Amino acid sequence: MAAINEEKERRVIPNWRSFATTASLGELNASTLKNSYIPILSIDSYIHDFKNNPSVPFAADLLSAALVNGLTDDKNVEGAARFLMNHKHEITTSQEELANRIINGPSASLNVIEKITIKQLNDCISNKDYINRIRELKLHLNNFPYNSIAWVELSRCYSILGQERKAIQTMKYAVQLSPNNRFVTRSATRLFTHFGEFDLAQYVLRHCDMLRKDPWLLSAEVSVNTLKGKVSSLLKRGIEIIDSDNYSPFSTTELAASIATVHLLAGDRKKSKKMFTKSLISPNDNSIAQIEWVLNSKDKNLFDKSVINIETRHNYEAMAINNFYNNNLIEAMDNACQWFCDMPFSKRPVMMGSYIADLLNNKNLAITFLEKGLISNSNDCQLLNNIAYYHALENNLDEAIKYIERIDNKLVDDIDGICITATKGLIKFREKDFEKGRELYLSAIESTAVLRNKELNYKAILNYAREEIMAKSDFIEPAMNLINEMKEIENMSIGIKKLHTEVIELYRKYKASNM
Amino acid sequence: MIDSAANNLQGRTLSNGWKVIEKITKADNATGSFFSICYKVEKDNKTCFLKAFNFTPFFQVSTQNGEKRSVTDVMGDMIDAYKYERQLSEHCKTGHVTKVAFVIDSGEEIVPNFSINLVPYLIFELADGDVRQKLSFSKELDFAWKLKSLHDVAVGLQQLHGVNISHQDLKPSNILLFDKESKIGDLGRSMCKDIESQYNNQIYTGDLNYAPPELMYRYYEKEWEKRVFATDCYLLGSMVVFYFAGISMSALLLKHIPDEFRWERYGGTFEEVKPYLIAAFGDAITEFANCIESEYFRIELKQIVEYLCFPFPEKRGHPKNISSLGNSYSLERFITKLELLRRKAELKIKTWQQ
Repeated sequence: MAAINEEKERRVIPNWRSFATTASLGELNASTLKNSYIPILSIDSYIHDFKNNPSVPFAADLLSAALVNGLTDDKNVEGAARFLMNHKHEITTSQEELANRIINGPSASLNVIEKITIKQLNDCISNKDYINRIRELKLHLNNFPYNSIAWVELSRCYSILGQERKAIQTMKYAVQLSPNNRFVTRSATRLFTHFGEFDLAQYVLRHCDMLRKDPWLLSAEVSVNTLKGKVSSLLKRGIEIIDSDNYSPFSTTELAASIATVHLLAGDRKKSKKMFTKSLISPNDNSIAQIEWVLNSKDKNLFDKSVINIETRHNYEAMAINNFYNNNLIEAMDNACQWFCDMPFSKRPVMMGSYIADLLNNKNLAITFLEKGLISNSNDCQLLNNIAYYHALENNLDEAIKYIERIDNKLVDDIDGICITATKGLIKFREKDFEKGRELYLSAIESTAVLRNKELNYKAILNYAREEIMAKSDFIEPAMNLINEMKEIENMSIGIKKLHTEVIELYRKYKASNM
Repeated sequence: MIDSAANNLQGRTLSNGWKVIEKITKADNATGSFFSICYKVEKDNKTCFLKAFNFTPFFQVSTQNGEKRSVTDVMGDMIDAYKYERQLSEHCKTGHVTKVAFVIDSGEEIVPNFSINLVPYLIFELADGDVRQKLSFSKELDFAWKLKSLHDVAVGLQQLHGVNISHQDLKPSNILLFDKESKIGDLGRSMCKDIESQYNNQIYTGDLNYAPPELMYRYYEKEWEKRVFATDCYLLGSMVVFYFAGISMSALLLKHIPDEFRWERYGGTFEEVKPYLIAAFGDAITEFANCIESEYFRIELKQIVEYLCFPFPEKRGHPKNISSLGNSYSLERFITKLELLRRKAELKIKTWQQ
C-alpha cells in the first residue's frame, strides 16, 4: 500500500534554487527602500568613433560601453552588434556572445521551468546532468576557491544527488567565506533543515551580522525556531521591521508569513490573519504556499481564498496544492512536475505528483515520478515502497521485489512499516501465495488499529479486500464486512474515496459474474 | 558648437609658427577630448596634434544640475585645466617618463569676432592612431605585437606612478600608436599628488565606462595612493582583456552579473554585493581565458588579469606585492611578465616563419 508524505505543519523555510533563479526572483535585492544613483552615461562618442571607423575593435568598444550603461536598445548599438556578427571570422567568442546578447536579448533559460509539463518529466533532472555540473563546479572552484556562490551551487548539486555529507561540508565552506550574505545564509538554512540539522541552521543565522536588519534572514530564524518547537527571541524585532516603512512589502512577505504561522500555532487567529494579510501585499512563492497550506488545513476559514495572488513567479507548490484541492488534477500534476524541477532535492513534489498520477490511474507515471525522487533520496523507504506498490499493482513482480528489498529496515518508522508490510502482502497475493499475503495484510490492518490511524486502517482494509476479490478467495465476505463497517468515507481523502469506489465496483462485478 | 573660437582655427598660422591643417572630427563629448577641439598642425615639415581648449562645454557644465556658475569661474576652470595638463607634461619630462604622449608646445591664440576669443592650446606628437585602429582578434601572429603594446602601456603607467601621477583614464582610445611604439595619451584627467588641481579631490576622474566595480558600487578607499593606483591597476587589466577578448573588463564582468545586481540598479552596499561580484568575476575570467587558444599564454594572461582586475581594490595587484611591505599596486612584476610573454610570442612567430 502506498505511503503518503503528508505535511502536517508547513513552515516558511527559505526555498533553495540556483543563484541565477533566486536573483531573478528579486529575493536578493536590497531590502530597504533606497535608490541607486549611478547616472546613465552618454555613449555618443563611442557611436561617433564607430561611425568614423567601422571596424571590429571600434564596434566592440561601443558594445562594451553600451552594456555597461544598459543602453543596449540603441539602434546604433544594435548596428554595431550586427556588424560584428557579419565579421564572425574576425571576432572573439566574447565579442560574439555580447553581440548575440544585444541582438537577441539575454538568455531566456530562466523561464524554462514555467513551460515544463508532465510530458517532459522523463527528460528533466537526471543524475548525469548533475554529475557533469559537479565536475564543472569543482574545476571552477579549483581556480576560484573564494567563490562562495559556487560552493553553494556545488552543495545544491550534492543535495540533489542525495549526497548529504558532501552537501553539508561544501555548504560550510560557503558559509565560512560569506557568513553575512543572504543567499548563502538562506541556502544554508534550507540545506541544514532539509537534513534535520536545525541547530546548525540556527547557528549560521545567529552568526550573521545582518540578521537583525534583514527580513529575509529574520524570517528564516523565526521558522527554524518554530521547527524546533520554540518561539524566536527576535519575533518582536520582526514585527518592528514589518510595521516600519523602511522595507519593501516584497522583502517582508516571508517574515510576515513566518510570524503569522507562529501566531496561528499559538491559537491567536486575529494576529495571524493580520500578518498573513501583510504577507499578501507583495507575496513570493513561499509565502503564497504557506497561505495555501493554511487554507487547506483545519484553519481553512482564516480568510477568503480569493485574496490570494496566484500569479506570483515560481509559485508551483501553491498552484499544485490549489489545483489539487480544486480537483484540477492534470494542472496539479504539471505544477508538481514544475515544482520538482524547481527544487529537485525536495521529496514533497514527488510524493504529490505520484499520488495525483495514481488518482488519474497512470501507475507508470507515478513510478516515473517516484524514481525521479530517488535521485535525491535513494534510500527513502516511502519512495521505495510506493514504487514497489505500483509495480505490484501492474503485476511487475520482479521489479516490485527489487525495490521492496532495497528498503533498509533501520530507516523505517511505525507508519511506513505498516505500508511496507501491506505492500509485501500485495506482492504475495499477486504471486498467488494467498495465505502469506493475507497474513501480512491482516498484520498491517491490526497495526493500524493499534496506532488508531483511521485513514491508514481504511486504506489497508480496502487494499486487502481488493486482493481477496481478485483472488476469488473464501475471505471476500469477511473483508467486505470490514468495508461495510467504515464510517464517514465522504470525509476521507480523495485517494481513499477513489479506492473505496474501485473496490465496491470490483465486488459488484465479482458478484455479478458469480450469479 | 561651431560658433566658438576653438572651432575656427583651421587655416590659421598660430603665433608660435604652427599651421593648422585640418580639424580632427570628434563627437561633442568624444573620448579622449573632453572640453577640447583637435586639429592637425604642421611646422618645419613636422605634423603634430593640437588640442584647443573650448569654452562651450564649460558653459554647459556650469548649468548642469541647475547649478549656475559665473563665467569667470568657468574660464578659471578652463585655464586651470590647460595649465594643469601643461604642468603634468613638464612633471613627466623631469621624471624621465617616456611612454606617455607629451605636450611639445603650447600657446594661446586670439581669434577675432568671437565673444570669448582666447583659445589656449597644447601641441602633442601626432600618433598614427589609437590602438583600436591596429587591433585584430583573428590572428595569433598579432600576439607579439599586442604584448609589446601592453608592455609599453604598463611601463608608461609605472613611470607615471613613479612621479605620483595616476592616469585614471586608460582605455583603448587613449593608447596611441607611434610607429612600433605604444604610448599613453591624454593626461587631461590624471591626478597628481604633487600638483594642485580640481581633480585631486575627486574620487575618479576617468571614463566611467571603464571604471573599476568598487567605484560603480559607490565604494572607495579613503587613502589617495591606494584608491588611485588600484584604479590604474584595474584599467591596465581591462586593457589586457580588451586586447585579447575584444571587450572591456567592465562589460565582461557585467555579462556575468545578474541584472538585479547591476550597479545602476542595486541599492545595497559594496560589502553586500561582494560575493556576487566574485562569482561574476570567476565566470568572466574563465570566459576571457577561453578567448586565448594557446594554453601557455592563456594561463599566464588569465593570471595577469585576475591579479590586476580583482573586484576588491584591497586584493588587487600581484599577491607577492600585497603580502609584502611596500606598494601593493606596483606594476614591476607585470611589466616583467609581459616582456617575457612578448619574447615567447616572438620566438613562436620565428619558429613558424622557419
